[in-house]
Amino acid sequence: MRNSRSNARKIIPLIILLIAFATAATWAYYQFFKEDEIVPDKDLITLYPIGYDTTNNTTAATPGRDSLKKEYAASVQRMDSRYLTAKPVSEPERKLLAVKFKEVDQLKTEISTILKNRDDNEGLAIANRKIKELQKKVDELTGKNSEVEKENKEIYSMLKRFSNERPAAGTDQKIIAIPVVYETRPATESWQVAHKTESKPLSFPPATETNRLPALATDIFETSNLQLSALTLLDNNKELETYQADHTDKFSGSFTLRNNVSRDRLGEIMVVLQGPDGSVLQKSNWESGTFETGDGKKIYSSKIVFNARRGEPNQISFSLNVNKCATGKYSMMIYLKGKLIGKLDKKLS
Amino acid sequence: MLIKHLRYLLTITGSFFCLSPILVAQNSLSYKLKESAVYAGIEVGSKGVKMSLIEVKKDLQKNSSFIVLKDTAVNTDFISFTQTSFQATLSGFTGLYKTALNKFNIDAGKIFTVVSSGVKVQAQKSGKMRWVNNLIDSFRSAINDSAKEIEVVDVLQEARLSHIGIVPESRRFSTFLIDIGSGNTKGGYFPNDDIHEFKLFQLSWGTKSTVNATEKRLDADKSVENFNRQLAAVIDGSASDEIIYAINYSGAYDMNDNIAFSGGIAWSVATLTNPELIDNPVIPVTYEDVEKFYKSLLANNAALSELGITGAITDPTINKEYVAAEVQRVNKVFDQWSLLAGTALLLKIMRQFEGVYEKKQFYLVKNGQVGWISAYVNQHIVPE
Repeated sequence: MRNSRSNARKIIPLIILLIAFATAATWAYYQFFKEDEIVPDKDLITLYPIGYDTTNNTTAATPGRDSLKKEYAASVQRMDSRYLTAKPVSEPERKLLAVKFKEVDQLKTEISTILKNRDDNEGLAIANRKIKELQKKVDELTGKNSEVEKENKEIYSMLKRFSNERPAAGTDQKIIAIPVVYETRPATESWQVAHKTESKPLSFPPATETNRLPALATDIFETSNLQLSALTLLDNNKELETYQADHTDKFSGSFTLRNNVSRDRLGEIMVVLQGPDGSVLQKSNWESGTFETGDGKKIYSSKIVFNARRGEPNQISFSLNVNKCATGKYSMMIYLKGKLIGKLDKKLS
Repeated sequence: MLIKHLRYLLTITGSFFCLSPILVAQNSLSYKLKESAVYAGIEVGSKGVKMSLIEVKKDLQKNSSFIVLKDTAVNTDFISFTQTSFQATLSGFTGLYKTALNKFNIDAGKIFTVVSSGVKVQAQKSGKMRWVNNLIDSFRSAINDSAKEIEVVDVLQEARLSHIGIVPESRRFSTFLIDIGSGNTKGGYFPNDDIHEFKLFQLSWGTKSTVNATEKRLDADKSVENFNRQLAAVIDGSASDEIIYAINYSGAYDMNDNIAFSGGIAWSVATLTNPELIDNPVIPVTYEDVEKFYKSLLANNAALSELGITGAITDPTINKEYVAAEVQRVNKVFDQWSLLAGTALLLKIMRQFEGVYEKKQFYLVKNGQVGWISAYVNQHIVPE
């Protein structure tokens, strides 16, 4: 008894030590190798029902209800995940796929009806056959979608190539932004009617007499043709318009400013480009600053000095590079003397 | 018995979990560039020892592109040349070197050590160069590396490197950089689009020396109003001639579109006038902005406190706690008199660039102190 107690005293700490070591080793393994761990692609996993002969695609025996349910679920899931990742681009493609999906839906209804009926054992063979048929259709559909994806990629590469072949910026040919075809949803741009700023007392301290720029308090300025583009930078400094946040490297905006007074005016326009989280995108540390508005101080993305001649439209443009873009609404706001005189929203998906 | 064994288990696993983060954490630097190398620059300055950790992209090592990952400083007041300040400086110098070596795993060959021009000038003025040489020898002995190179840089070299380190390449040949220090002001620009040719600009006036000169005129009346009056007398009197002459002689007006200010006062004014841009290292300002700030310093100093500054922020995306911490830091370093004196000096210099027909763009640089050491490291890197 005493011996066994003594043995237990020796063995138990050892076991505990081993458990602790194993825990620690597992923890360390996950700490060091977690990033290198290979997560297999879902599409690489092929699920076969029990008794399914993978060499000649025949069923050795009719599988049980549970196996069939699993197989059915796997087929449906595979189709759903693939369907979500790619969408057709042309109308004929869309029609063809709609027919195929209708067939698949019909098969799904039939199979699930059979599998739900627990008393119908004879129907299992039919369900098995229908699942095979469903798998075949899913394969066709996913194959079709892969083709669509491949086609989209080819078109995008072609566009990129085409864009690269065009002369560089600043040469005789002007770069025209080309919409990217694989994008499924156009950007929703909400135009706001051009604003006017009229002579009203300003809510911030008036310019001091040392301010070199002439007072604009009595002027009427209006903005029109507001445009904001998100651009992807390609090789050789080419740019391609995009509607996707992931692909946005740069924003480019422009607008027309008209001075409707009798005198020529020199002034400063502040452009604020606000991101989806409300923060202001800045051109660079050396080009962004703050200015006073009726709602307090604001950060500007770009400050533009203009010389607006009476009645003549002044085309003003700006651009700023971005490192990372979030999806959501981007607002371009134009301020003159602390007053908002134009605004344009753009959504990036 | 179970409790006893449970104790063993807890002890073993507990020790493991306590030690493992130390074992796993190789260093706490988060790299910002791919395929980069990290270098350290340690500078013995007038006020203390500074260390900057700089990340340089490998394929860009021939160019001057780098990112300052960390900068830290130990205040030791070396130029007082006392035994205490000597020991504190040596200790700070050695400590930062060992931190770079051991904590951040930077090779000794990638740690650059220098003594700034401010120390050299002060040591030469007061005949204390022996203290500088002793510090260098003691440091070499402390790190067991008798061959370690420790360069004592001169004013021209430091001003030139500051320009390279602070001003972006796109504005390099159109920017006049002026560093307003505590005891003097130095800076310059590249007149001939060549980074090897630098036009040096120097003034014997700095923030602290302006405060000192003003204080001497105060007599018994220590009020802010009197300080302001006496400050105006200093700025428009003895300082004025030197400032106007030095700027005219530099020829900077015609050669530069941008005038950038660095140094403690630039950092303070930038932080207090533009808390919305707290993360930006450079703040564009106008003469009127700085003038308005000066007036608010006089009229409503409370508005420049942490509460005053954060209370005026209307942008909800700004981190007010961070702003408050920075404002507190400014108020710890500069009292009202120093802010007034530094801003008055800043305005006096800015005024020289306020032409009737031509307007210069002014900038306040916040992290100017890491500029020259960053550029020094970058220029001494041998491409791998």
